Amino acid sequence: MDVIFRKIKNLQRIQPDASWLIRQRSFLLSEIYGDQKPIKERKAVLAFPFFDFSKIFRPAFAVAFTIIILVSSFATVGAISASQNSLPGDFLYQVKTVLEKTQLTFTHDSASRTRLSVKFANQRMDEFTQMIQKPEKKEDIQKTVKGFTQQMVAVQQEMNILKEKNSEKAAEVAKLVQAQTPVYEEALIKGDEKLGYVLPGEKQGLKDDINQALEELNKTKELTNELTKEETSPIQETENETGNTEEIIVPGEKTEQTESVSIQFENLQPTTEEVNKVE
Amino acid sequence: MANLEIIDKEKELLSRVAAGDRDAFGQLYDFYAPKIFRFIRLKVGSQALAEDLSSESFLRIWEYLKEQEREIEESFRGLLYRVARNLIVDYYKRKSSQEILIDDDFKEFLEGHLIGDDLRVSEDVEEVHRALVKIKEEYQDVIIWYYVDELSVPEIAKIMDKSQGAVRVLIHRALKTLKDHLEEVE
Repeated sequence: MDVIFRKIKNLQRIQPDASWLIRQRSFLLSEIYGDQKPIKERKAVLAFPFFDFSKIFRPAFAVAFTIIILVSSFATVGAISASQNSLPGDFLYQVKTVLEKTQLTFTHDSASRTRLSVKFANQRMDEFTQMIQKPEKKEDIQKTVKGFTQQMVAVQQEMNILKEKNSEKAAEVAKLVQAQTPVYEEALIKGDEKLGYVLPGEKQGLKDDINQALEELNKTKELTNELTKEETSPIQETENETGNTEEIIVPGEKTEQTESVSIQFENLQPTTEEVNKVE
Repeated sequence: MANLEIIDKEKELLSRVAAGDRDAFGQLYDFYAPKIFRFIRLKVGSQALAEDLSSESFLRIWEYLKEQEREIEESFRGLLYRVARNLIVDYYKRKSSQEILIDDDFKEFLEGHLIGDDLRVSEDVEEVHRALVKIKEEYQDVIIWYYVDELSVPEIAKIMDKSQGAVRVLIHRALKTLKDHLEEVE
């Protein structure tokens, strides 16, 4: 009986076309309420601080704000949330990608930008796993893979910037990325196998893209391993007999830090010549 | 969201709709449109028809809400399902002969309209749909409402204008009949 319940529950996964949902919503609301815009909406547009575009100097901001106004006047939260489930080839997919870029434009903090890039990588991976069910849409599948590769590069770039500013936060974010990488790897490998089965002679270009994605994923993994090891290598301080503090690194794999500490130690110790001079 | 939370949220949105808040009706649409579409799609033979009847359901319910001078006595979603079910019945009555309920393009429809990537899910859904359209309308309704849309027995009883006891019996019989059809395939 459990099997039957599981099968029945799977009916919950049936969904309408996202574009139809949005169109019908607009149609219904205009039928019901006519052409009159509610007072709240009118005020929202006029009160928007950057309504006068001549005041915006950066083209990126102009594009982003135009998009925000268009999206907010075109439909409400329903449209934005509907676009989240869209896939390459869908009408709303452009809205989804533009919204992602807009989010990134308005995020300045490196840790937040890394987290956003991870979120978008998750989106691309989710799209990939859905798109491989439609192997005939080879170009759209390639888009998701290339999109994922771009996000991996973005994650690496942001983590490198964050590493320079705040290694502790970089390690924290690296752990988040580390948790995702096995999932990405498995999905890419399984997807590759599946596509090899359904598109035996046709998928060379796609295979190259998947290999590229795996390569960037490996680079991301290496970087996260490096960042998390830096954070987890404990350093103990003790006072040696001469009163100098000596940093002892507990055995680990952190040879770089060991080198820098030994240089530091050397600088603290007077040379024999200097000792002789004093004497 | 638990049933009580849904009912409270509905009440809040309905009072805003009554005050002319367009966004509130939009929110009701956002929440229920996918469910109403799914309910109708499982019972009729085409996506286009399901879309038309879904839109019609919302227009009809708006007309109903406009006419009401006192609070509606049943839940909004119960009313919505009742409207949708009546529209399906009316549609088939208008046709000179019964449409084929098992449509050819359901499998194709699923390809673009299923959340998740699992082939097994798609096969399960197709299998259940094939069995569902073979059982009687009442049984289809209670299976979808109780197991898929997770309506409560009291809500279903109100929609169908039956006692709660009768609905429980109906659910039990519907499930058994569906199970028999599913086992036939295996």
